[in-house]
Amino acid sequence: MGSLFRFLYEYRLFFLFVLFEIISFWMVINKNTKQQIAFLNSSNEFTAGIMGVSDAVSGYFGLVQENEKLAGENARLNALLVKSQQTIQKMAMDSIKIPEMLDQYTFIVAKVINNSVSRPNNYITLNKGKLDGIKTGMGIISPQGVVGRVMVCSDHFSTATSLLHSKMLISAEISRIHSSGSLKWGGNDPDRANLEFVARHLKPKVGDTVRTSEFSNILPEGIHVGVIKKISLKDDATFYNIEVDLATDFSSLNFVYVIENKLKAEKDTLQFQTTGQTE
Amino acid sequence: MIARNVFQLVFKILIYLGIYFLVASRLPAFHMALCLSYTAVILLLPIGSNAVRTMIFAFAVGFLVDIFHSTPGIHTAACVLLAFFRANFLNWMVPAGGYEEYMTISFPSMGLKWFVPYMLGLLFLHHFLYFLIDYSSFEQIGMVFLKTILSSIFTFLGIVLIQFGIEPPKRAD
Repeated sequence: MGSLFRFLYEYRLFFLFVLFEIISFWMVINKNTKQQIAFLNSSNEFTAGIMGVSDAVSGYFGLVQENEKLAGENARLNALLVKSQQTIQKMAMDSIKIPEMLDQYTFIVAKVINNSVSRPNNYITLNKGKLDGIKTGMGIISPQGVVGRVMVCSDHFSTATSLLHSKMLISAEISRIHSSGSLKWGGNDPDRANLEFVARHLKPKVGDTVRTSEFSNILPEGIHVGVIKKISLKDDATFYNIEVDLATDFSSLNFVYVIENKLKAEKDTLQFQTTGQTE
Repeated sequence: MIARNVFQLVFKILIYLGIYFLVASRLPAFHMALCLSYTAVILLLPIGSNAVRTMIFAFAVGFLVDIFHSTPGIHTAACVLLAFFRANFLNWMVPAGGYEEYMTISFPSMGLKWFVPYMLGLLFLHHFLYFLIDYSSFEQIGMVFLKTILSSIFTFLGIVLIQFGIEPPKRAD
């Protein structure tokens, strides 16, 4: 018995090494199945606080570009406002009213306080949380285009899966020919993603615009995704290989809109009742 | 005297971690290389540090960084590996005449011939395990190697710069 203890003591460094590695890999594996350990997450108050400070400092360096973007966004929204006022006037003349359909989506502005683009699975931390009305599963867009989906929320912060994530799929369609597919990130270039499941009888062209489709439960229809950059079709393939140039510049994300779909629960329940599956 | 040394060490560790969290972690070069400069707090510990305590410390540092990046386990695993091989490296690379009391791990003190292989070797091991777990597939092993090599060099340069900034080499009298 004594010699056993002496042996253990002699190689204590190695045993400690093995023990710690086992603990680390246990954490890695657990995280990959489901990231639910709340405190092991950058949405907790302590780390998010530090990132908030860091972002407050680095935010000053991007003020010029940010102002330009905001001005552009203002102009676009003004145009939209005018257009929608016209539609409302027209609608008022009509006797049919569908209030839920008119404001199906609400937008919450949030600031990105932590972000990465160079890892195989990227996450975003936002400075708004449960108390601001953010819930798991909400969609996120930026003024430029699609960003991702909320994953975990604490009271004041939330962590989201970026579009640059190996498990993230978004239903998108080529707006010119209305053919939908799934948008998936390839894993290396943060400016490119692949549009999958576009059948070979369709005729997409380089330069076509890709937007979110109406099948998406988390994002409204028609949000800009990007532009087709490259199309290839193997002789034996059923689907095209389409490379999309993403509109969102993920490396300079700053302000984003978190979108709440008020009819999501209703749609989900209905789909679940019919098919027994949720999206 | 000893209390002062401990205080200095803790202070330095906080500065290295602070620089990593506030600056270096936001410096990905061309989406390829990362500057994981927090490894400095393990790499640059005094030579005489107890190996077991170093490993417990490395575990804690890795855990903290993991919480910060929402990547449970990845940095921890890499840090523990780093601490294990640091103890071995220090044994293999004993300079002629052994380590002296005044030696610290920095290139003015140990010389380029000792410092560069020590740093790059350990950083390579740490980064390799980190990227291997991060990609968790052998299909992209080429990408893992490329990122490991580029990031090791980037981190090395980052650590040397930070070290010069916060512990300027004293002039030999």
